Order: sequence, then structure tokens, then C-alpha cells
Amino acid sequence: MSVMIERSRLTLRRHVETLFGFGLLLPSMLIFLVFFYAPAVFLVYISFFHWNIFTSRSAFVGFENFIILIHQPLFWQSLANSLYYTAVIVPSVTMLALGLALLLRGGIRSKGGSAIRSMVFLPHVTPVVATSIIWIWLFDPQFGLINAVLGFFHLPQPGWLGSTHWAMPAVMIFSLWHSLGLYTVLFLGALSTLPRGVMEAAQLDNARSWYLFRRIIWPLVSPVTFFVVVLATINALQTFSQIYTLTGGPHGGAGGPAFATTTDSILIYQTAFIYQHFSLASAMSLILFILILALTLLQKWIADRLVFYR
Amino acid sequence: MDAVHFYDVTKQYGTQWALQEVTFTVQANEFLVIVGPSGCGKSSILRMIAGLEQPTSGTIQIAGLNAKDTTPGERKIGMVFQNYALYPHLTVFENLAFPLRATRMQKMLIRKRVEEVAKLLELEEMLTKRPGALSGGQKQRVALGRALVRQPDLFLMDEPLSNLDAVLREKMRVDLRHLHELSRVATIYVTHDQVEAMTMSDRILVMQKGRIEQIGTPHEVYHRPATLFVGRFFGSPPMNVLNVTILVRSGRVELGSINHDDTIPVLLPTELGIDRLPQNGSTFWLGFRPEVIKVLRGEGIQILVTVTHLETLGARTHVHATWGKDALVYFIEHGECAPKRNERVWITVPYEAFHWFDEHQQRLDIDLSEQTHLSPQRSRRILTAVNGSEA
Repeated sequence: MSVMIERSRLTLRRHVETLFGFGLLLPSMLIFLVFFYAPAVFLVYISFFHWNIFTSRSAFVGFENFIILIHQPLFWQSLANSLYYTAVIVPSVTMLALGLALLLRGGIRSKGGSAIRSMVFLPHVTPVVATSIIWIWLFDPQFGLINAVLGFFHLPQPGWLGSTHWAMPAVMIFSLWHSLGLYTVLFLGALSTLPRGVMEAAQLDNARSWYLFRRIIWPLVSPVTFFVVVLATINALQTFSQIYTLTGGPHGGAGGPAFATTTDSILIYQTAFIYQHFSLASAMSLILFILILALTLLQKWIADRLVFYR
Repeated sequence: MDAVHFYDVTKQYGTQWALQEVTFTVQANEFLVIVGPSGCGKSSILRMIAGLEQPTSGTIQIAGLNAKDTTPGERKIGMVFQNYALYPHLTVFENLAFPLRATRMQKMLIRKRVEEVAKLLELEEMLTKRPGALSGGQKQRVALGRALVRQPDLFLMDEPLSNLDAVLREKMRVDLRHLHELSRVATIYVTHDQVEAMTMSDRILVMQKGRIEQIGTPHEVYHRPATLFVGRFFGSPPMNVLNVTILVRSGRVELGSINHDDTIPVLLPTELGIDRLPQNGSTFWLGFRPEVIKVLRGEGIQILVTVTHLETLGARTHVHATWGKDALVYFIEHGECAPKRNERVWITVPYEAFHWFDEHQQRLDIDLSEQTHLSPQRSRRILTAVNGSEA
């Protein structure tokens, strides 16, 4: 009898603890629910409607929004721009970050290690909009520092943000500068966990620079490489702030010139908040979501064949 | 040519001394075991020979060449690490082939060589597996194979058997020694296990606190330990040690304990004078192994001990006893009459079975069984050693 009471007391206590735990989670769960999940679900909903934020009248239109998009060249161009941006940014940021991490690896173990790490990481913690404005000056075709340096070496001086050819590369350069630190620090972490014995064995086996990297280091950091590639891809497909800031201002509406930097997130923003086509923007978001999901699954599928987990 | 020559090598980590003035030589074809408690510097020696660490001062020669002039990879060393350090993402075949591929050997030759080694170590079945799928013993053999495959001039083994279970360890001990008989490649083997040291080595290097205590054959190290530490390190259960002082009272010699009031009368054989013993009043350590103790009265020094408890191990029984506050162990064979707890028993230690160590725990050559008298020079040397000055 007393055992049963004891046991029910225990269960009661466990229940109270569980409830208390959920209670602690509740505020953040509410915030997520209201500002992330509910809008996301709502977005799927309105992408099948004609929906207007100012009136309560909305009509179910099925796939009409999607059909409109398919016949809209700008939608395809924005997708192409996004993919162009992603295809350049992801491999280059991954390789540069890994290369930088390999170069800094020795320095990290020395006394100034944390200072080096902070310096590398610093650009990533600066606000995108503020630093973008600085980079607008740097990219200025006539008075910018970049063209001054190029001119000094008698190299061609592109029009950067004013040129349809060079606007996107300019955005890419800024994004590389801003995000490289994060990925470098991730790689530095991975390199610091390389098993010491294995590295020493490789040293005794006379494995030198490229062979050591190709056969030992690269495979052993492959899980972090996979993480970096996935993260960089998602970030690249969603890039917004730097494009908005860099290509807005004196060069007219964001995404220019001549839609050269109109990526899907820029187009979604403009469709929703400038042209007030919320349903169309939602449909685009849904497509972007599916695209990111598909790419991530593809990467996962590839990774399962290439990545080695210890 | 000597395989390895260490001359006056010192190693410092920060303010910590890992090695102090270490000098020794590993001969070609030799199996040298470096043994000592953890932190004695034995692994540092191995890592410096491998080139993974640099000595703070001193010279290391490998096959006659100054080690400073070669990178670790150029030293043609096959090293077996304690935790195996296999390449976790490569198959067993690729692990074995790795050192060969690094030298850009022809693929055909690599395959042939790997297969030879795999056959020797019975790894053929698991060539396509990754290390994660192998048992400890299998990993151990792969690690060994990776060291063997490049046909090194020198093997370094850092406690390679310490992660294996007892049965496997015993088997690998024999296998490794056999492998050495076949290849006759100089091998330096680090362990803290006295049994591995005794059974596998041509010579043993005993270390403590960054210094060499003794280098010698297993026989020398066991039967003529240079220091008290070495005497205690080998043998299981370890050597009995009494810290005693010599008391001479009206021509009769006694050994008095430093720790308590008990004394042992020493009945020297009549033909021996007391001049064989260290001087009156000097203190020293008296060591004798459990197996030399006789329960019967006989020639030797007799000690009255109190039995505290018995450990029966089948063929023999370990008798734990005390003399005053000092603990002793001796053996009785199966069938011999076992003492009871708290029983007082006379035990006899033959004169020739004693090891004498001075107050600095260094060996003293005193042989009470010797039938000839010591030369005057020799006894003066002993006395000097004991008293620190000319007696």
C-alpha cells in the first residue's frame, strides 16, 4: 500500500517536473509559433488564393499564382540570378574558408590564437547594412579604393555596382568578405579535433602537404565541409540585405542594374511589399522553399556517399 | 652500426623535466624494452626518435645520422601507437597501403606487399573493412602491419598491447617476439608492464623520473638490480624491502629496523668477518625476493615474522607476514604445511639472496656468501659508498 502511494507520489512529481519544463519552453515556443510557423503555414495557404492585405475578400485560385510565375520571365531571371550567386559563392566560400583555416591552423595553437580567431570572425559580426554602405564607397567606379588599387596596377577598372556584368560579382565579393569568418572558424574547429595520433602516424608515413591534405585531412573534416556547404547554400539562396543595400540607393531600386542582381528573395520582397502581390510572393517563397529543400536533400544524398563520420 | 644512439639528451616541457641527461645505445637487431611507471619519460624518448618532438639538448643519432638532419618521414621508422592511430576513414587495405602510396610505389607492387603483410598477420579476411568495424586485437594487427609494410630500419612501439585483454596480450607478446626473430629489425618497445619487459626484450632500460635507473638483460635487471627502484619494479609480488641499520654489540651483529624497535641477529658464517658488512650505525635497504625465503631454518639470516593473511593461488600460496611494522611476502608450495593467522614463524633468507642498497638506494656489492674475503680497496669502496666519506 505504502509502496503504491510512494509510487503515485513519484509519478505526480514527474508530471509536475514535465509541466514545469514545458512552462519554461512556452514563451519561446509562442514566439516561434506566432512569428515563424503560423506565417509559414499561412504562406502556403495564401499562395493558392488571391489575397489582399487591405480587404478581407480572398478567392481560391488553385495553381493560378504558380502559372503566372511560370510565364513571367523576370521570375526565371531571378531564379537564374540566385543560382548563379549560389553556384559561385558556395564553392568559393568553402574552399577559401578551408584554405584560410589550414593556413591559420598553426597560429591558432600559439599564444595569439584567440586574437587571430577573433580577427577572422570579426566581419561576420558586423551589421550587413552598415558594412554594405562602406562597400558601396569601396566599389565606387571613380573614387572607390578598389578601382584605385586596380588602376595602380594598370588593371581594368570595372563599373562594379553600376555595371550589369559586375554588379553581381561585387555583391559576391562583399558576401565572401562578410561570411568567410564564420566558415573559417567552423573549419578551424574541425581541424583542431583531428586525432593527434593519426596526424603523427601520417607524418611518419611520409605523407606530405597535398597527399596529407587529400588523403587524411580532407576526409576527416568532411562532416564539417558538408555542414558548411549546406549552410552556405541556404544562406546564399536567401541572401537579401547586402543586395538590397548595395544595389539600392544611387543606382535606383534594389536588384539592378537592369535586374542583374534581382535574386528570388529580392523579387519576393518587391512583389509583396512594393507591388502588394502577397499571393504571388507567397507562391514564390514556396517555390524557393521547395528548391532549398530539394538542394539540401540532394546534398545529403551526396554526402552520405562521401562524408566520413568518426 | 648502432640503430639508435642517445647522447646526453634532455627534454623539458615548460618548467617540467621529462628527461635528464639520458644516454644509451640501441644495437642493430636488438629488441630494447623501455619500462617505467607512467610519466617517467619513456614515451618522450620514443617520440623524439620518431621526430615528433625535439630534444631540449643533446644528440640523437639514428643509423649513424644525426636525427636533426632528417624529417620524421625520412627516418624509415615503423611506429605502432598505443591507441593504434589507424586512419579511420580508410579500409584496412588502404591503411596498409598508405605508407607505400606516399612513396609513389607502383600499384602492383603495393598490392603485392600489402597482401604479404596481410597474410603474415592474418588480416586477409578484413582488408575491405574500416577500422571502426574491427576488434581491438585486429586493429592492433593492422597498426602493426602498417608499420611492417614499409620495411622500416627501426620499429618503435608505444605500449602496443595495453588496450588488449589479458589472453590476447599474452598471445601478441609471443607473436611480436617471433616477428622480431624473423625480421631482426631493431625495435624499441615502451611499456609499463614488467612481464612484457622481461619476456620480450634482449635488454631492458628501466626509467624513473626522467632518468635511467639501469640498462641490462632481463637476467641482470632481475638478479642484479642497480637500484632499489629496479629491484622493486620487477617481480610479482615485489621484492621485500627492509630499511635497516647495522648494530654491532660486543662483536655480535644485529640488523635494527629504522621503522620500529625489532632487531634481527645476524649469525655470520664463522669464516666471514664483520668487515664484510657496512659500518656500524650505517643505514641501508635490504631487499630479498619472496621466492628465496625458506620456511625451514638454514644457512642465512633468520627473521621471526607474524603471519597476517594467506592468499591461495592454487599451485602456491602467498603468505603475508609482518616483521615489526614492515610487511613481507613469501611463498609456500602446494602440499607444504600452511601457517595460521597470527602464528609466529621463523623464515630464513640465504646470504646470497640479499640485495643491499645504500641510503641513496644504489646497489651495494656485498656478498655474504662469498668464501673469499674482500680486497681492502673493495671494502673501502663499499664503506665510502655507505658513509659518504673515507672510513
